[in-house]
Amino acid sequence: MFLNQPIKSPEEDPFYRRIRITFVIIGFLFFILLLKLFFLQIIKGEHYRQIALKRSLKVITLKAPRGNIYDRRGVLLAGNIPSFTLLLDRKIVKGPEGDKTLKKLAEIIGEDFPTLKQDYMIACKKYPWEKVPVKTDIDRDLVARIEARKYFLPGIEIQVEPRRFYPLGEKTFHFIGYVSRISAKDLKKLAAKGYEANDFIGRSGVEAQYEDILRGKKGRQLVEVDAKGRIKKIIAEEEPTIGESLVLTVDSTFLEVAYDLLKGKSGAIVVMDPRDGRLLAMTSAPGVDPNKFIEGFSPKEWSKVVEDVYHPLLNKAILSYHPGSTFKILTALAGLEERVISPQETVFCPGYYRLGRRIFRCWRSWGHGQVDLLKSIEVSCDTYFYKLGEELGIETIARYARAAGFGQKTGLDFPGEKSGLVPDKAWKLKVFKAPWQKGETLNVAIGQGALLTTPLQLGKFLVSVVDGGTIYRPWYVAQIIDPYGEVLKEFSPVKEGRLPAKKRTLALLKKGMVQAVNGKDATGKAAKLKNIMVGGKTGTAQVIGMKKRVKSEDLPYLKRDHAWFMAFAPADNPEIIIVVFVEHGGHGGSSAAPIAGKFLKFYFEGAQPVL
Amino acid sequence: MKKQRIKNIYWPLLFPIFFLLMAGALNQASASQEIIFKKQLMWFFLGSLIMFGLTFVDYQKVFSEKLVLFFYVIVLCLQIYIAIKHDPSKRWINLKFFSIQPSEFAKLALIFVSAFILHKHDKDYLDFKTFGLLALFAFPLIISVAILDLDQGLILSLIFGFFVLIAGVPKRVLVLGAAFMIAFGIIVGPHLWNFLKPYQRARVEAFINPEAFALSRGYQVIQALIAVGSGGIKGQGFREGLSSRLNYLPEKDTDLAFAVWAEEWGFIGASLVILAFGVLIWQILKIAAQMRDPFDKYVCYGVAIMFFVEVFINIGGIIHILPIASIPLPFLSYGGSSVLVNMMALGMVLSASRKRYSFR
Repeated sequence: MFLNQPIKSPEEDPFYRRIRITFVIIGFLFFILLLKLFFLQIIKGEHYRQIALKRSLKVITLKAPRGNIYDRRGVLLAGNIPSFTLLLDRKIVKGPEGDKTLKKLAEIIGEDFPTLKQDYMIACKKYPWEKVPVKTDIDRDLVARIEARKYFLPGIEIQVEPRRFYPLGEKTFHFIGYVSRISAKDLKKLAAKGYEANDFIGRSGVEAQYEDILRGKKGRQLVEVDAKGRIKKIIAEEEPTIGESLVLTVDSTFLEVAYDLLKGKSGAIVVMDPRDGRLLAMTSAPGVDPNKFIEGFSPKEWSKVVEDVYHPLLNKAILSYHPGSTFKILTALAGLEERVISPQETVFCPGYYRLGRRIFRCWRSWGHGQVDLLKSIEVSCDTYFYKLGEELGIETIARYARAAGFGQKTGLDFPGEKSGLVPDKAWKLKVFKAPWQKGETLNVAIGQGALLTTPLQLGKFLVSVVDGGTIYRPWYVAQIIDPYGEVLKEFSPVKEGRLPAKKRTLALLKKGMVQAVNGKDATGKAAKLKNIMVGGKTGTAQVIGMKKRVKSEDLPYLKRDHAWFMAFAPADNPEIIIVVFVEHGGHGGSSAAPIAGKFLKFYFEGAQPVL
Repeated sequence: MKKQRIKNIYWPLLFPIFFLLMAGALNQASASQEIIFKKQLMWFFLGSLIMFGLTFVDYQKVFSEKLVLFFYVIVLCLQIYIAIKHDPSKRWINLKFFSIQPSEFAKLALIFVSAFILHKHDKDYLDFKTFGLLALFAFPLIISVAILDLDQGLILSLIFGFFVLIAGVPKRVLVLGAAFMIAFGIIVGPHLWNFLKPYQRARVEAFINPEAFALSRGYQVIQALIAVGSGGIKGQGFREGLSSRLNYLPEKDTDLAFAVWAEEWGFIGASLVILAFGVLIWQILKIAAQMRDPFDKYVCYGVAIMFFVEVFINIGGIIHILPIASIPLPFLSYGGSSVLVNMMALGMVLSASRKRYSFR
């Protein structure tokens, strides 16, 4: 049919017959080809089309720049600078091919291959996702050199991302906090909130507290990528929304000065406005450069940070310590309000107080002689407050302490705050399963024993004493603004209640504190200013019990006393309060008070303090 | 006289050739860089010259017995020379401006030599002497090619096998031979498996289970399937194929060129190409059946078989009927030697077809 008739009959011509068989075989096999083609393209066509699309269409997220953080005058505390991150795709850069790419890359960077490979391995372990950041913040020159050779560097990508930048560095570390790349563990928890691999996330301080406001909203890009992962075409795009910015109540110069004043020491400073409870500064020393968390620490740098006895990673402004004599103000307040004492009543201090068979020493072993209330605050006489404490009893002291905000968080919207501890009989029974000892009351009355407060709590308490009894919740965000400066939300002070104290009582306490700085035998003399009347109270908190009074300087660092000083100024119309805490700083009057004095001098005179 | 010449051209053969040349040019325009595309056009032009040149002469007069033998010896020598150098990446002989692949020409040499041997043999069945002669010429060629390029070696042996079949094998011998082959396969097969080079073994493994080797050996198989399948009925359009445009498809200008075509022109385009090949082979077989001169017969038959084997192994590999082989698809794949050999072969068929009307 298909082949022409042969000359001989088909039966006679074997060649013709065999060609016919060949033709049938070939026709059959071609029919199979067509059948399979039909199956692949028509029956399974849609299936393969989906695979092809899925393979080449990728959704890329566009990172949103984080909102800025400003101080009260608009000085930048945390912002963004554009930066380039070198990402390596672990699916492509692997095996001998990957080594070849790494070698080329090392040559371009000017690093040796083993170092780069090691960095890559470490990054792979640290970030268990596909695209691993190997170098952060590479310079533009290098970017250009890599981009030019990109075709020969499969699996290598340069990502432009806004990188967090902290102009004041370690000085704002504890307050502003820091951001770092999200960990695999966090990513699992936070994936629902839109977090992705290689994102930065606020880790502490303001950055962590206001993460949701600062982070903004990511954009998305639908792109077409080729087999080597290179973007060929942008198909659709949704732009990212920049995060909202914060305007804080703090002042950058205060933050800086406070930090500088603590140089070489471990401690914290809290500065507040007593008129509405706003924070003007909160700092803890030493700090760590928050920019380092983005670039990454070398193992050596990191172990140095972790092993430092000054604990640079702890924010001491919100950790709790024995308050020492600063707490005597609260004891005095309770005594006056409970009418246990009158201001004129005097107590004789022989240098100790006897309770039963036990002797409680005053810090001055030869005693203060006859002291009334004001004098006892001025010289910080322990004996006076031992007696007062015994008369008040622990339950009353605890009641007043709680009413003043001790033993609970201050309500500052800040992560990691400790609530401190106000001990009482029930607490002792619950924790130690033992009855309360009278001697413990005496210790609490002078700010020792089991009592723990944070520098921030003392600040909040001092604000309420100084402003006439109103308890303000400490706060530090003044405004939330959008990227164009439009105010989205304004914050105002929150009154939590009143101190259970009469105006007269508070005035008397203030007077005592003014004497404690300006009096003849004042313990806080070091904070005295020439033109401004300062009021304050020292505190020296024993870290360990001593049989004998030993000079703190002679003890090993970790056994030295904590030094405290809290102050307000000007005395008649206070506009600033400051709490200085120096961990293991020795005596409050000689260690903490000068710092407060220097800070107040800077505040009122504007002069750079002599460090 | 001149009119007569043109009239004598066997047009049914020219149509599929023309269609395939167009398809090949389009496909290279999509799959290759510009320089490769231009080179391919140059080869097409050169090949067409040779094809029409051969059409209008009696190729038997050009390719005398001596010349054919000479051609065979040259190809064999080149092939042995390459095999001795034993560098699998150098299957080509580099001339100054282009490189030639002797294994392509080996097919032509095999067809010539086989036709020469068989046309003197006029019995209904192949006798032992002729078979021995056939094997004597074919085996050195097949082995020297197969050392470096198993796929071309396979094609040569298939052509040889078809020649043996067309010359006639008695049913007894056929059955016996088949039984022997099966036994040989079972006994020697596993040893042969170890003898294969890793990449050759990988191809078979990837054929059996491509998903298990999706990133290495199975990559070609899977990408070819995705490319062909995603073409659908109408295809994704010229130069629009996702697999080809975004370089997911490897070897897209050579071994997997058909996948590009199927992706961009869909089932319609792909089946048209297969049909064109089908028509081409059918027409060559038809000419073979018409020829009176046994030499013409065998040459045409050999050419038809050559096209069939190339097309079936290439496309069969791409659409996952066979393991993927590294051979070009005539006209659609890039390759100078391949184009020249195919066009030369077609030229001889066309030349033979003109004798339909002449009586000697």
